[in-house]
Amino acid sequence: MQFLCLIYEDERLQASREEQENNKIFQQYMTFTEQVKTNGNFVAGDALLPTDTATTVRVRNNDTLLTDGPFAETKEQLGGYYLLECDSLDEAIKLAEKIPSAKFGSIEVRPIMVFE
Amino acid sequence: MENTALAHHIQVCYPQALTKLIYRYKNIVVAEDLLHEAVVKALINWQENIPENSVAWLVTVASNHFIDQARREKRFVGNEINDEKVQEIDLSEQALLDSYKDDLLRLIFTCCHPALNIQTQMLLTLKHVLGMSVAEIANALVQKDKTIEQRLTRAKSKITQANIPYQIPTLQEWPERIDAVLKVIYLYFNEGYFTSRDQKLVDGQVCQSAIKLTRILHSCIRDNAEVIGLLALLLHQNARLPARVDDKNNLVLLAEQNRKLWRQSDIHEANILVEKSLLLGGGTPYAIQSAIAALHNNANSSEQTDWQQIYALYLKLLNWQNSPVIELNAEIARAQFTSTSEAITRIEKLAGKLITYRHFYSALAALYLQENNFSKAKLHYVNALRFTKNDVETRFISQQIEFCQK
Repeated sequence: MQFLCLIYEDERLQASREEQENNKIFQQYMTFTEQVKTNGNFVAGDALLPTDTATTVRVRNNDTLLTDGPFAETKEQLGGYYLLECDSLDEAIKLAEKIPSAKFGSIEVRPIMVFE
Repeated sequence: MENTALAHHIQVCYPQALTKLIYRYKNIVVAEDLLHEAVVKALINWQENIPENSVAWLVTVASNHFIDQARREKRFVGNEINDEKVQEIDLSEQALLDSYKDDLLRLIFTCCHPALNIQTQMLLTLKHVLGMSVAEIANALVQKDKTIEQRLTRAKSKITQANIPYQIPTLQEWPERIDAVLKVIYLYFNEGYFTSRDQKLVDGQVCQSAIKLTRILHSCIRDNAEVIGLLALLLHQNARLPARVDDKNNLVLLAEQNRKLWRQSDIHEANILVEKSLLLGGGTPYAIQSAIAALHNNANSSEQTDWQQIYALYLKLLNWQNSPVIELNAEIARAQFTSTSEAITRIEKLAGKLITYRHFYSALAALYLQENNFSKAKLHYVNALRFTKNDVETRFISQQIEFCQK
């Protein structure tokens, strides 16, 4: 059986913390990732870029409505996810439109952080 | 060369130089920083004479700055720049001329990308397409420099991090995407037409630069009914600017404006464009709105205005956009050729949809005044006042309230 662990945090904290503190947390993440990989638990995991980079996609009456920013409704709950490889935000939006729930729910499109 | 003329020349070169640098470095933030360096140098070096191919000069100086930076940061391997992102660009005058339209469109469409909110789209467009400085934008929009700066930084970070593509949309997406650009321009024009600046109703410079922006778009997209329609609409509205406030900075309603003050050159140009826009698109939204403006601007007085035709055009517009504001405008036009009491009944039916819209209340108030019903007129002016932010409009409505009390 697989489980999805969703990580919630105040994204402003990272910007306000000491670099040393951030590095420490980063190291802890590396350790955890290594651990679950060794144990054979790891399937996938990524960090997301801040909500500043988010676009929320909704389709109503066949019209695509884009909102600049993260999903902000409290009456809807997270119901699933897709991790998609796309050339650009436009391609990601085009695919997000086709996710069935876009017609009655919301799809938040957020880029994955790439560690160089 | 005079400083303002020099600044203007740089602004004209700015968007294409920026597009070339974005193409070369694949990053809008890097491109903008480099161009900024080049502009600073141009302001010093171009005082005596301006290089013939100014865009090429800016791009070359910006690129040299990149190489200097890279050298300082030791990004060199041997004699070559260790950066595969660098693209060769043809900067000959002919090549720049040939690619001008596509370059500008790519920039405009990226700035007005629907994944950015419309205010952000406007800031990016002013910054990148018109080459306005943060201070100029802040002044035009009556906001703080810091606010504009922050929003631009955030927008650019979204463009690069979320990978908003730097490209011209496909033909299929074209109408929707052009519509987004036109909305941004119209929003900006209205910032000048109803400025929120204290003690002022209009800011002619803002209106002028919105028109300039439309002309740039028009130079890239010929024969588009909506682009031409918007240009016509803005010119017609701009023509009335000198008459919208009197010497004492009081608001003057359309019916009472001194039509001799209207700018005839704008009206003449707009009239031609209205015709063209209607012919091309057979009556698309901006074409219809520009035709309505034309009927106002070509009439000798409010009484001689063809209100029936204006009403018919508003109905046509309603087929495109079902908006209560357009319904209200249609009814205001219809009130000019039907009985006032009937018009009041029809407009009052819109109350639920226009509860926070000041013009809904002032329209009703004006009709009640015609009926000599001063108490009802006053009631509605008081409501209108609650939703008015501009000082000049507030003063106008207050005067109307006083008048109703006499």
